[in-house]
Amino acid sequence: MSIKLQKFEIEKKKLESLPLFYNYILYNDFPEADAGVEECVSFNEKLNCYQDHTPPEKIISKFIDFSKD
Amino acid sequence: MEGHIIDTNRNNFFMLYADCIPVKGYTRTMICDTANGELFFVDNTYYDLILELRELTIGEVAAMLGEDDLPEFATFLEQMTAGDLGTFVEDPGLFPPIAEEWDSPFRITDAIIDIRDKQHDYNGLFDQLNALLCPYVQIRSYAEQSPEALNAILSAYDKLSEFRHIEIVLKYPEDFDENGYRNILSDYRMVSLTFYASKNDREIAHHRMSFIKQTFSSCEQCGIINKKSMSLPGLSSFMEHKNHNSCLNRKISIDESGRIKNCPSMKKDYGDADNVPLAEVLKDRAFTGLWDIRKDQIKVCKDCEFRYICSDCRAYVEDPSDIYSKPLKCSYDPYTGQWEETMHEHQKAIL
Ligand code: SF4
Ligand code: SF4
Repeated sequence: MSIKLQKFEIEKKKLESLPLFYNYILYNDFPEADAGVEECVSFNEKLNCYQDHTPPEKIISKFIDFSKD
Repeated sequence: MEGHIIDTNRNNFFMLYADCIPVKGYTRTMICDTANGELFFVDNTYYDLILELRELTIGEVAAMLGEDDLPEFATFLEQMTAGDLGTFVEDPGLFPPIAEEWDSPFRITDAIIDIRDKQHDYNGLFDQLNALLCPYVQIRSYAEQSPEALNAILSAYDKLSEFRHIEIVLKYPEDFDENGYRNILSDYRMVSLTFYASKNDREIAHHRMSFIKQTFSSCEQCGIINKKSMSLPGLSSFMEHKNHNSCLNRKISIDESGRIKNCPSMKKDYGDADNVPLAEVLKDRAFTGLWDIRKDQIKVCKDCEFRYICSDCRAYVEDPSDIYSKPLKCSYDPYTGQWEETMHEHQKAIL
């Protein structure tokens, strides 16, 4: 197989998973967490483990239009 | 000088790290660095080169290329190693690719519950979702919900802390009771509140309360796909996106009138949640079949370099008679590589 290379250019993007406040938010500086980290951890008896109460990595629904200001 | 990296590695192989995955699109290739959350875009000829490099040594590939391509080849190798996307190895057999599989111990991984006027049986719904090991719930309210109303919903179930996260999206109320909502957040550590149509100009600092100006009035506003709605998943989510439908896989929803659906915007429903157990619906192949519509099967998307990080939409598609057509509200054209800043009229029409 032969390949004819194009001029090498690479474009790097870092996707930003910013908290909602950063996206056309009215106010809310990114505040110091007013609750400690432990506050958002609890023991799940069914799964027999501690779990963080953090949002999912996967977007559940897409009805916020992040492109609007 | 530019051939130096070729000469010193003539007998070696160059390998992308297994978690840096190239995805070939119509106009360009995206290398998705799932470990560091970075995307790199290169010309498609380098996708072909990456494939050759899996089988041939640097010297063999250099011999295959034309003289005038060697500087580009050297630049490619330098930038790939500088960007920490790959490395030189003596025996590529020692570095097998990562299995392109995805599974989850959770029968349901996320649920949407829409509310407007009708009160659902929240205890029953939470209990069933918990039994299905569902970790994430999103409650979308098209009406205001006072702290008391939220408390009535959340206190209906005494094992709420077994959910990892419950996001409540609700209308910003005219008489915003900050303390009341703060109390909700202190009482329910797994809950976050997102207020839309926000008019407030006071400062409120709480890491689980957010405010947006956008207004929502129905589930028809869901399904927006644009540059800013992309998220870069880790390796596990990447594999889920690749092998399954990235929005509907392991999802179950209750629409505002209490009907069970894949997502509230879908036309087909599977009965009333007051009468039909959610676990029964999961036995229906028509319901779970949508979980497996992959981006590689979807028109246009199959040629898009974003296809394994884009979260798709099956409710609003360009051709409603074809479940394999492109999401209607996507603003990317993989054949030109351009994002549209404004939506087409037909896209706006349903927003
Ligand atoms: S299929 Fe579309 S409308 Fe339904 S939840 Fe997913 S993005 Fe929203
Ligand atoms: S063309 Fe398809 S895969 Fe590409 S961004 Fe749009 S919806 Fe996502």
